[in-house]
Amino acid sequence: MGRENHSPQARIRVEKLVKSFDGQPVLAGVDLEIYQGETFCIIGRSGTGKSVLLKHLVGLLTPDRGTVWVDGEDIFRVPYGRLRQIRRKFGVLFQGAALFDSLTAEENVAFPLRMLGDRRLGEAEIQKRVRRCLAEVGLEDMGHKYPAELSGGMRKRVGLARAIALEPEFILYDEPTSGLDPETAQTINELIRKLARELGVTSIVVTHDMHSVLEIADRAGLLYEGRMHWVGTIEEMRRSQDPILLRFVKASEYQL
Amino acid sequence: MLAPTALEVLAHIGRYSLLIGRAFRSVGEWRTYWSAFFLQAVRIGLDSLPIVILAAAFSGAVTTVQTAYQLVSGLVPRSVIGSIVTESVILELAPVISALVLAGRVGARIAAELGTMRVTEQIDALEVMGLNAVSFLVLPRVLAGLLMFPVLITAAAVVGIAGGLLAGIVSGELPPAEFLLGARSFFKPFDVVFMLIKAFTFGFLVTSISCYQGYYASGGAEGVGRATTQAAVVSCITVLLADYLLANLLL
Ligand SMILES: Nc1ncnc2c1ncn2[C@@H]1O[C@H](COP(=O)(O)OP(=O)(O)OP(=O)(O)O)[C@@H](O)[C@H]1O
Ligand SMILES: [Mg+2]
Repeated sequence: MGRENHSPQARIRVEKLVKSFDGQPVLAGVDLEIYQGETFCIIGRSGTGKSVLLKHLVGLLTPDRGTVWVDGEDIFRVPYGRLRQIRRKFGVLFQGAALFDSLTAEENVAFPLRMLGDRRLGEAEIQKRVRRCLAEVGLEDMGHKYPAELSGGMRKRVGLARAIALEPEFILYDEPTSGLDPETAQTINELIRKLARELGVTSIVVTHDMHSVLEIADRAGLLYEGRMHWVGTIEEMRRSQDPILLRFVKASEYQL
Repeated sequence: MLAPTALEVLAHIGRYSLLIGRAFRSVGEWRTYWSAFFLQAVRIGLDSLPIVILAAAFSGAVTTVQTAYQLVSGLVPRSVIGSIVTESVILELAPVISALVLAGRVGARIAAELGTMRVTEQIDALEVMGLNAVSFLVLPRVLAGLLMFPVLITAAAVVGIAGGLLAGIVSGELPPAEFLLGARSFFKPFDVVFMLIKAFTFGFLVTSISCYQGYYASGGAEGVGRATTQAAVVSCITVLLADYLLANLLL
């Protein structure tokens, strides 16, 4: 499988990923490696393809060229049944939360447990886990509400509770704090850090918010014109003189 | 809307076949979809029973009146009207009119539901959990269609014949005894088998085509609207085509 060619620690390896929509190039050869236990932030202007890149990591979009390796398996070459197994290592928080609108918040969080959890998981155990996950995101009282009755920020937090219900090894966050008030955003940032620290989760966070990046990231990468223009640790970012990175950071009105 | 080219139609048929194939690939994982199956069966049945019954009753009644009008010569016994009405209702009117009504109701609802799930990334969320989203969404709807279309169409046939009988009484053209005599004397059990074959076929076509339209919806609320209309239109056309082919093959 070519595993030996790769850096032994890289758990996700994106290789020369190319994707265009209707002849319009979005990703033009993205290379990226994600290591066990780290929190990696993907930054970049709106419309540069951050969400598109994130969807390739779990095979929701198929690349025109290039590929993605997860723990040494090429996710676009394995059979569909195996891809489903690999996907269970992931929890994903979508940009619009993607809650099932016919189910309450509680039922949304319980859904993966019921459908894919251990068959012996009893109803009492499921309820306990659901309450725990909702409590993590500070929504223990909102369980009976339908998504339409929740604010945008609340929906996002329910989406996060659902993403962590099956205790994934990787969590992908698509703009977890956008549209939240600073205090709730802070809670989410702390939660991301806590999941990484206590459960050893490997996290990939797409965000505009430079404050979040400095708060949670071990490393970050700037997606620019279809490529990872700059990748480095937060320390390196503070010292970087890269003009495009500086321009992005300045535009976020945030002093490093 | 411009008419699609032959190549586009072929591309649709290919993608549709792949989707249905993928749906049936996880048919063994009943745990993930059986409760959705019951929900869908109840919805298809209850949602549509009144309108299907109404359409059937009137089409039966109209057929009686019209056949009586056409058979003005005294040479043919009036009981023949009963046999013509019964045969028309069982062979053609009940299955086709019900299927067209259901294409509008059930088909449009399925496409709107799946289309909304697509554009709000709910389908992506299902896939990413490691579920076969196609099976999870398409199987319960298609299986419910296979179960409920025959039930609804059988009810439509019974009501359609009753409508015809009633129209005979109301118009004073045909006493019930003669209607029933005609109905019985030309009745063939194969007619009912043929009706059920049509019902299964239409049930599969309407639900699977609508699932396809919804599953591949794109472009926000407008895209969902487009998928919904397309589901109803394409289902209707396919039902009519299948109706003609089945008549050619089996009659
Ligand atoms: N399914 C799709 N079909 C066609 N074009 C798409 C599709 N998904 C994304 N695009 C296009 O790809 C480009 C990148 O989109 P993407 O959603 O990844 O941006 P983004 O970096 O996440 O932006 P934002 O920060 O605003 O969320 C956009 O120009 C978008 O129009
Ligand atoms: Mg995005």
